[in-house]
Amino acid sequence: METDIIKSYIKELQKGSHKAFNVIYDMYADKLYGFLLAHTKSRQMSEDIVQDTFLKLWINRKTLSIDGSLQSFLYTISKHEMIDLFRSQINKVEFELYVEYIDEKNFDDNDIEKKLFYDDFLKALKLSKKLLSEKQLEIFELSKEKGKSIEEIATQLQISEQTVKNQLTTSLKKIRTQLSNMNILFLIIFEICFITQ
Amino acid sequence: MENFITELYKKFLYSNISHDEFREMQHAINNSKDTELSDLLEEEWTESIFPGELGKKSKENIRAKLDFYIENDKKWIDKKRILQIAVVVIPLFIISTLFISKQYSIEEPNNFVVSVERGNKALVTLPDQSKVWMNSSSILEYKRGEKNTREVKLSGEAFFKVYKDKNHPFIVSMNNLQIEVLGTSFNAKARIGSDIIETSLVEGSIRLRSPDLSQDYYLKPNEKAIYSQSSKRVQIMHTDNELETAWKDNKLKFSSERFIDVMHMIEDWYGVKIICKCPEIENDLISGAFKDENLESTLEAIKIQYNIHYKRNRDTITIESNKYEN
Repeated sequence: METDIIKSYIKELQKGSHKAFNVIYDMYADKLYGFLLAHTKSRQMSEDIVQDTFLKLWINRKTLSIDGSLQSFLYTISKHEMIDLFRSQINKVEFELYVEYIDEKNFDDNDIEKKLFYDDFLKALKLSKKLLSEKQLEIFELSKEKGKSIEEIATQLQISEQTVKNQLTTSLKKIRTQLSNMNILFLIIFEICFITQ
Repeated sequence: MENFITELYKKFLYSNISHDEFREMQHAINNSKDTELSDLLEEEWTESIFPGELGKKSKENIRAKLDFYIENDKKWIDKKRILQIAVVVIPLFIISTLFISKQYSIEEPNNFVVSVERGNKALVTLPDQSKVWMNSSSILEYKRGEKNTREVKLSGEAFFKVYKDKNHPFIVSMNNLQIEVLGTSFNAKARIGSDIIETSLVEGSIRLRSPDLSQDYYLKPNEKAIYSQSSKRVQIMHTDNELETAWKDNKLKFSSERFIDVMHMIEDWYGVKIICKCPEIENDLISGAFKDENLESTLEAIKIQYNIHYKRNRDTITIESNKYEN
């Protein structure tokens, strides 16, 4: 599907043309960003990978084939990073809370909150974590943010594994309740982000 | 990929997925291989266009960062040529310190390459005051990253004494493997053509990671990580750092290594070519230690101990075994 014009940009890019690079960036940056956003639901992560991908395009420009498709080349150079990110993203506990939140709220398609991003959700999550006791917060963060196992946390804090489990369950319950009551707060956060952008 | 997974995946992409369906998808994806996942994603990438625009500000932000990199890169290509010619023919066994920024009058270079030829060694001081001892046949590329991260690429063997700066991680890349450190000393080895990448830690702590590895690995002092690029596995074991880093103090040391591997070490060490006509002893394990010895006396010592004889023709040495003679 790529026209001769694109081919000539590829040729120029291979020779090290910064201008051709910029044209290609303009052509594909938004598409790539939309694709990443659909997978990560995070603006920040998606932006980071857009940047990485185009950096790789520049670095690997000499291996680009003129007859190949630029679109598949972009995919090839960043697929490992995308797959890893996608895997790790969907396995984050905070991310599952996010999916759960979106699901429970049951937004209809036109609802603005439907567009709530993971980034904004994390901010709300941060607020709701204030409800946790110091100990609960410590355990929650070790588990969810530092990825430590229950066993590791028990050893580190010198408490029983059962206590760690109980504390985590209580914390999650508290956070869930708080989040489902935070509808309005979300809107505010969302709007702040939206307007200041 | 089964149909129902594709369905769930699409629902997820358009944020129409229920919590239960999400868990089902998560489970299915955790049980799929990267190749299956790659096909799934690639199809979407080719077929669909998703809503979401970068926004003018972000788009220009990213462009500015890319521009910055590219301009630097283009300048660097010219400088690199000069440096490659200028840098380094260091006499055998004389380790000298290069203050590259002063010697080559390039102001605070962001990127440079040091290459050490066979039979030579070099001690390099990087702009951040980290020190790198480079073993023979090694190439080091230094790059000051965007957020002032310190990045080097290594092919060959080097010992790093990294200047402590906890705000700016120091990253050593060897092919697909990355070692991330804050301030510490360690040895790293990725010989050209070898499947194995090794690193052993003297002090501090380091982290190993690679897109090919499902987890990061952390090393403690006196541990050594061996990474096989073909099997994508990391093995961590206890090690003797005295032995690992002997080379930087001009000690040629080996302990229970295969005869043929030791011959390769000697080739690199003295910058010679060794032809081994001795298949029957190639796999024998041998040990030894030499400090500041010349090639002749090293070979003599091995000759007496392991019952070989050798002929030297300039830089080529032919070794034959006496094992089955008499």
